[in-house]
Amino acid sequence: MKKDTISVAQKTAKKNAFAVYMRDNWQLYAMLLLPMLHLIVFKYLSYAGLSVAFMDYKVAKGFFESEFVGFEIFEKIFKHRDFGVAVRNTLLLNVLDLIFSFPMPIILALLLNEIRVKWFKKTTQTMLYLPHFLSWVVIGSVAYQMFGLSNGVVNALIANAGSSPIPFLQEDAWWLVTYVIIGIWQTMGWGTIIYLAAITNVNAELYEAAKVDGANRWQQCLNVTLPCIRSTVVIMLIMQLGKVMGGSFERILALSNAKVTEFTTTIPVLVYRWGIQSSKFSDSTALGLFQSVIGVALVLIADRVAKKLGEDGLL
Amino acid sequence: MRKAMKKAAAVSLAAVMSASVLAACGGSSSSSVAASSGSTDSTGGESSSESTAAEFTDYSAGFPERVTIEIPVYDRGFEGWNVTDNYYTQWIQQEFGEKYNVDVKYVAISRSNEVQDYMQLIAAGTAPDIIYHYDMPQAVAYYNEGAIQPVNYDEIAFYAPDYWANMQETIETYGKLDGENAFIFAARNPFQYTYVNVIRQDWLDQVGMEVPTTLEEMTEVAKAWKEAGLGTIGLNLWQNSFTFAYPFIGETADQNDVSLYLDLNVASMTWDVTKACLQAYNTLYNEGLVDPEFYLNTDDAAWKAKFVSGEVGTYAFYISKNTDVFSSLKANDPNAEVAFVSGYNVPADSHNYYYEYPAYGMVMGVNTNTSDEERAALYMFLNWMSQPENLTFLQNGVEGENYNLNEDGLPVPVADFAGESKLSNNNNKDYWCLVQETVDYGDEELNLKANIMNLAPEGYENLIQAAYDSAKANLDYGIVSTIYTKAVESSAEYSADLKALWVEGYVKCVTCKPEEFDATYEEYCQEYLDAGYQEILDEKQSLMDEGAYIKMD
Repeated sequence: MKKDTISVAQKTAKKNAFAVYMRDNWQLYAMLLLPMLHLIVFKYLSYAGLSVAFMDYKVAKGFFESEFVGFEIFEKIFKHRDFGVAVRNTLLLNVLDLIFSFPMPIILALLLNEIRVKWFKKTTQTMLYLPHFLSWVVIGSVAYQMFGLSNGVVNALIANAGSSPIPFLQEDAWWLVTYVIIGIWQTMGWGTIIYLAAITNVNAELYEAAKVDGANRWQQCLNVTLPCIRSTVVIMLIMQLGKVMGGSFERILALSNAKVTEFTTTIPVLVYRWGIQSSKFSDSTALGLFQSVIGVALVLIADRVAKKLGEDGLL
Repeated sequence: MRKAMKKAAAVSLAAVMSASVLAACGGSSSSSVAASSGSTDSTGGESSSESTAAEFTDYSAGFPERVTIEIPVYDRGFEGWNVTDNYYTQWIQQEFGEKYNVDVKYVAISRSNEVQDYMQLIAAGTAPDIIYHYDMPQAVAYYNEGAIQPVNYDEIAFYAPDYWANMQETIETYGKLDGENAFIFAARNPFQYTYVNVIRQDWLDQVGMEVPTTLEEMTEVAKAWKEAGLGTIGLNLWQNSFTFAYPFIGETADQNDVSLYLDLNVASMTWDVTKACLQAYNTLYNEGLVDPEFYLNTDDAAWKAKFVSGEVGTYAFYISKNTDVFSSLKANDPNAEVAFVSGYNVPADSHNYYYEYPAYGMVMGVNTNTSDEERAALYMFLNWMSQPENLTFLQNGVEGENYNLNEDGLPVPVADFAGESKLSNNNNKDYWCLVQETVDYGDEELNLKANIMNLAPEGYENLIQAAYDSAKANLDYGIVSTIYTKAVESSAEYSADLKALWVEGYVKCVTCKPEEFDATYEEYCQEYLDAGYQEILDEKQSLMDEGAYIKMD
């Protein structure tokens, strides 16, 4: 009897605490509603659209009246002659990016970290961030002004120096090099932000201890900074692996031309060509779904491997 | 106090944001309800019209209840021009809408992105009552998507007698697809000469040569230009509307080949005519006589830029009064002079064959969701617009304000008119294109005079005269591409992939070394056939064998 009253009292107290908490903070939850709504409507509800990949979708008939065809669309796209080429190119471009673009922000962050003059560091950082805010369309047209064969600034300099011009964007192998380098230039500054943040979290005592042990700047960097940001690097790597089957469509669209076609047919380009240009929404959705499934699988595998190697992993 | 203020601000902000989101959702859901109720109307209406076939309600005194028709209009991004609400749309509402108790609502379709726009509207069930496109293959694609309802000719004749009288023959000839009456059309006068080719006259003078009339002469001119350190022959990237092969057809056109291969949407890679064409451009390219970076000219602006900056000496474009080609050219080089040129891309052993427009303009279909009443209002609208006085008003504006009539009875536009009845930048074409493609005074002489007056930039009137004379002389060499009466399904399936492959292959064929040409061409032909072209050719051949195409005389 007594016990009961106590527990009821406790319950009401708990309830009261929750009510009090909500009365004080409900505005915050109200504010959160909107982003949640956005997430639900635009990120989760749109999953229903994936059903198009399993139908012979006709726009006028819509979701409910189009014919359900199971995996027929997938069979069709896997047999398509451009499919193999697209997978190869997507992997090639993204693996090159992974090898060359991924380490650049880390190196840059380590370098920036060593700069002691405040204003110089700030100015450099800002200038490095800028390319991130340019659209690929702008970068593409600037690239052609810079590296074009007959009108490019760089080739004009090369010609004046007495050498023959280099087809930076107009020959397949050179195009690949230019594509990767422009990619590095565009992403490396922005990528440093997360590493710089990780570096600021490194305990200053570690550096002092290293100094006492006689480590110079280079050795401090290798033996203190790098190991301390290792988990951040691993997480970034796992996330990057998820994009290996995707990649930026705009980047290819902006940088390619009719002369260089060896490496430009990628999965996102096919999605655009089928879905937007020829309104084959089913084919295009199926291809996009395929790409996403591989991406998720890669992330999961990388996460497992990282955990096996004693890292925290992502999930 | 301050905390309370903050709280209040947060609350109101949250409320406003959620409310706006909800409002947006509410808006779209209510419109979808309206659309679906519209479609139920139409299904109900159709069954009733079947039972009372050939009897149509007379609405000439106006509809008993307000009817809304949605009419598409191309939005070309003209500065300061509201495509859906302006002097002329208001005039249409006043003159036609109020008279018959109809709301004429314009729906903007972006010109540069029209297929995507239409597809989204169709998917959302909010597409306008007319679904249109300038070329047949895309109109067929809309039909195959199920977006267009078959029409009843008796009904058109009943509600739009004048429109029907003008267009009956065209509609009955071209409007059928798979045995259904799928499309209706606007009129088009196929005799056109507003696409002009120009060449730098001052460069010709500099090397002491005449205006070239064949490819061989043009080659000699280009060689002289190269020696004199002038520019090259201008060229764009052939990536759509494939008409490049016409000049290479040869002495006589093989009827079967022509029907099989000439197709605006699919390039005729494997045709021997195409091979001759690519071979010729390969030679020009390797001798350095054409624009060495022609493959970067993916749009007209790129070629134009090279022409006005003096990199290339030839250019082709739709001439219009306010074109900036000549003024820009003069600004860059005050000595620049241009001359009309024709046949400079045609080998001496061929003729100046060209893509001739079929006798129809805009290809239109009636939206599947359009109800009986809306369809009647739509036909009445087409009939109203077909009236000469209404058409003249839409095409020219207000007499005495926008224009004055001259001694030939032709409207002469008032220079720099800026009143409220100012026409759109292309003379309101996107409104009257529903019934007519070009202004037609019913007489070739008058049309020419009007074109010179309305299309020629000042000082360049001779270009239009020359273009007219040239078009007149070449009249025998126009070829209308075959129109099939059934959908060529393989074409819809493969055309996007084939376009990408064509661009890749043909650029390689033109830019490779002359000794590698044959091997490169053969390789791409095989790939092109494998990628779906063989299927398209087979399907077209079988359609022709069964007679499922419109025979041209």
